[in-house]
Amino acid sequence: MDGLSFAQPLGLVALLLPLAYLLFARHLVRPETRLVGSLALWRRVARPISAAADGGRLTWRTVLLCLALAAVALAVAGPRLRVERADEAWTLILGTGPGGALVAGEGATRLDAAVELGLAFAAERPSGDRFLWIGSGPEGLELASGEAPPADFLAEVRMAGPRDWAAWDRPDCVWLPVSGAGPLPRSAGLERARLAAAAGPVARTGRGTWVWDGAREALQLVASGAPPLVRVAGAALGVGQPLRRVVEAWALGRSAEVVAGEFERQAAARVVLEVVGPSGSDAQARLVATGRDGWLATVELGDWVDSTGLRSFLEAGGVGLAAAGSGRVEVSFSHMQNPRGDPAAFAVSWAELFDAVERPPEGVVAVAERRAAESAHIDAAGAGAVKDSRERPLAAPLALLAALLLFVARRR
Amino acid sequence: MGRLGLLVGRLLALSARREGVGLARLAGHGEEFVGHRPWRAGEDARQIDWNLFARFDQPFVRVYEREAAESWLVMLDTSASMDVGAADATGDEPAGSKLQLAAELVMGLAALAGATGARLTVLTSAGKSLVQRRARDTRALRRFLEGLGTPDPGFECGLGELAAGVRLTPRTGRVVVIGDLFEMQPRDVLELGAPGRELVVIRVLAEAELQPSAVLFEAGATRLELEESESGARLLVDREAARAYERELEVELETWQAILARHRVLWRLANASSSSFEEVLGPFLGVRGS
Repeated sequence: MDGLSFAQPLGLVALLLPLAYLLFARHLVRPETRLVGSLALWRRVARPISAAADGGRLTWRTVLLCLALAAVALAVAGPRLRVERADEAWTLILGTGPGGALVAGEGATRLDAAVELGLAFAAERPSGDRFLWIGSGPEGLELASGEAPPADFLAEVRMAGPRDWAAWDRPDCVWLPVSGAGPLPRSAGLERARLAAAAGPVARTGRGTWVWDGAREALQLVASGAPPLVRVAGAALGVGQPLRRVVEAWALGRSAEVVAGEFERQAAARVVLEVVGPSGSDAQARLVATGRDGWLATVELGDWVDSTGLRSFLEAGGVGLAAAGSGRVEVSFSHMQNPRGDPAAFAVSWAELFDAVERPPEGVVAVAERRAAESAHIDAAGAGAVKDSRERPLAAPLALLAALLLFVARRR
Repeated sequence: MGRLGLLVGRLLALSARREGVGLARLAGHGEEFVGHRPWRAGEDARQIDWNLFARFDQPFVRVYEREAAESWLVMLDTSASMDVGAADATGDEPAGSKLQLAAELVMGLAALAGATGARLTVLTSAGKSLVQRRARDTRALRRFLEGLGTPDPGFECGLGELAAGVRLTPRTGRVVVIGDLFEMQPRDVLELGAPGRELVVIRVLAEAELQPSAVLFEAGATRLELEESESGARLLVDREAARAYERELEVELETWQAILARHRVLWRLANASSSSFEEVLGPFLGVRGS
């Protein structure tokens, strides 16, 4: 308990009432007077009781009445009990994707606006609360109140794929979306700035780039230079490999060009997908069988490249063989034999994976994310509970206590 | 007056049936033989004059007649202490004060005196007096009783002083003392006695004076301030003192009763709240209150 606070501190003046009652109790509780014919007999048997001594003696009734008056006086002052609580941990979920780079208004990007709202939320929390910012991956970055996420963290957020908001619908979470297209939370809070419509590219195909003007539903096709790229690297994706053939077929269907070469993590390539695999020289001569979605294949294990932030797609005996993330698919095998079973199942299985992790070309943002949106604010369920538990009004319990004391005093 | 008439009627019925030794003690002494009459069936056989029966072989009973002009004296305490009655929760003046019952007793005695042919004199501690010679002289009695509550200025004395100063004649056959007797001793009453004179002491106390622990403290009070009605003196008492008072009063009443009984003085304790004048006077008359 941090202490008491009073909505009407002047009401504490009423505490003088029980004090005054105590001071004048001798006169107020003077014993009743009864008439008798003679005091002669009484004087023979009654031990002397001075009136002063009797008035100075506190009776239970007097004490109870004073306590009742004090309780009423306190209730009038509107006391509130500030309850000590454990420090809360909040999870701030940033909206991902290229939409964060769109201008929200007054020069700031939508992601900047979302970060500002997150900082404002943190500033309103009691000191001691902790804040975990969730960006591109499931692991977040814990920052103190008032401390903004670093630029590289935000850059990864802009490069990340679509956010699975439902996974973060918890009372301790606050969503910070960068568009109005997402769902509404049931338990989590929501903080969204007013978003202006952002005209610009919404799709890029082999024919060119489709552009939205920010107002109408119609799109305009604008001829542009190079088609989107699909970069492949590694021995497993060499020419003639089953997986290489699927990649080529998938890129062809999307007017994309497959480019072979070493993987460059920081390259600002106009790619929609990077498929990488271990090099042949480091491959281990161990064959394992794997498969999913109705197909089976024997692969030769190689080195695992980098699985950080990726989700598993294929494994054998607990060993990860393929994992995917935003714009990337990594495999750990150096060679794959022709799959058994339905060849179409093999192609569809991988094509769906590519579709899931496909990253639009730089600057391309879907129309739904470019639309304007009004500001939104939804309190997290956890925030409401914390607010209720911080200050508890005591007027009603005090009034009840006063009534109880008066009842007991009347009975005595 | 209906209750009073009933009481007197019972007394007269007793007197009419009695020639000889009466049952009513107030009518006991001072009767003279005037002759004989035939015995009637149903009468007490002990009243038959057996000498005449032997001579005439017929039952006769002796007929007596009261001696003329017997005088009764009632000494009534009308001091302020007699205004005290049963305490109630509201503190209002109770209806059944000691003086109220005392007045009813005087009225009953007046009726009895008139019915038996005695002359009644009533003296009060406030200086009032009444002499009633005829039974039907009720108007003066009513005025007298109505004026009991207003003492004569400059004439207020206790019942003890009244008893000490009264002059009794040999014809005063009965003396009745009515009051709360707080300031009196048994010897003050005994000094009124004389051969052939009957003394009656009726002590009237309020319910609160008889059982203060139950009456005065009934509302749950732990302490009370008692005020003496005559002097206005006050005393702070608690429930324990009330219980000690009750024990002391019981001893005092037993002392009064024992001393008076030893001297053949009739004694009666009356509760102003619950006693009726029939209950108080009835035992002296040999009848029960209605």
